[in-house]
Amino acid sequence: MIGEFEYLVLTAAARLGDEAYGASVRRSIEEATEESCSIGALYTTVDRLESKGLIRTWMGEATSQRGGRAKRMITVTAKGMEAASSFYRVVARVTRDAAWEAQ
Amino acid sequence: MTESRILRWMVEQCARSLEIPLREAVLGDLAETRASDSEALRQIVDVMLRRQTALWHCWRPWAVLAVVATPLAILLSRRSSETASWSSIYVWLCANNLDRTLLADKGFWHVTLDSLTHVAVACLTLSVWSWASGCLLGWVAQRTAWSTWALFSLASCLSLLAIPWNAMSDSQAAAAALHENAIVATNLFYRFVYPLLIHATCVMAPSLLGVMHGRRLRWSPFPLIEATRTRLS
Repeated sequence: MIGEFEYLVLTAAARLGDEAYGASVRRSIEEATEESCSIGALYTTVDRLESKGLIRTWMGEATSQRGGRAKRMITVTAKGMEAASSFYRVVARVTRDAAWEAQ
Repeated sequence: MTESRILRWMVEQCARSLEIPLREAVLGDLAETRASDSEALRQIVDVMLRRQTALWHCWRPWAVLAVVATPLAILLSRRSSETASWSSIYVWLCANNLDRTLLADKGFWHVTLDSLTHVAVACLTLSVWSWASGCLLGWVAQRTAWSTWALFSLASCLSLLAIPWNAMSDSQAAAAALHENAIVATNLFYRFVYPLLIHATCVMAPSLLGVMHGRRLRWSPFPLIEATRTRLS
């Protein structure tokens, strides 16, 4: 099973679709979690997910906004979709009937 | 302004250790998010550290560390300690005993030139050996070259620091040598600082340059060695 940060990266990439690349995925995770996400943590996870075959990455176009540097584009593979969906099902199942209010 | 330029230069240097696609992506992301220079440096060091740590999760870098880096670190620190030990006598003679009478003496200049040449040749030889060792490390380790060099430096420094304490109780010969040159051997500068200076300038700095050169090498005269290196890196 994938880890929670891997799930965040997969979900952000799936939600962004064609606009999924390093900076946009990082922004999306930071907005959702309201916590800072380091570039190192993001790319280490991206590499791991790619080696597991859960995502595919390639170098996109360079823009002036990025100082002429290329983007690392991310696409979630079918296997990645399945892994994320399986993780979500487990979280939903384990959360059912759990009360989070203070006793 | 100067601080910002230094930080930007450090970011560029750190980024050079990353593979080109990752470097492009990371520097582009930092430019897009308009990260400050200090934030950019923090992020890029974080990427470097995580990258290097991830590479150490397999056995290959450990094999390079055990078979190549550690033996070389011990040998070079031994040699560096020996060089520092005998050259400190000459340096002490020249640096700590100067007076007008000596400076006017032709014989003093003759002996000084002779001994300093001797010291310079020994330091140069040690530097060349260190550079070649660094080159070998960079060539064999490739992607883990920087972390391997850091551990190589740590091992050589630990080995170097262990030597003076061993020498105190080692053998009678060492004790006699210490006694003969007690005035130098008991001087804190020549006993601890000077060996570290020799080690930093003749071992660590040249080996670092060697690693930078070795990482760029893509050629081998021996197919068997090349095949082994490819498996290790």
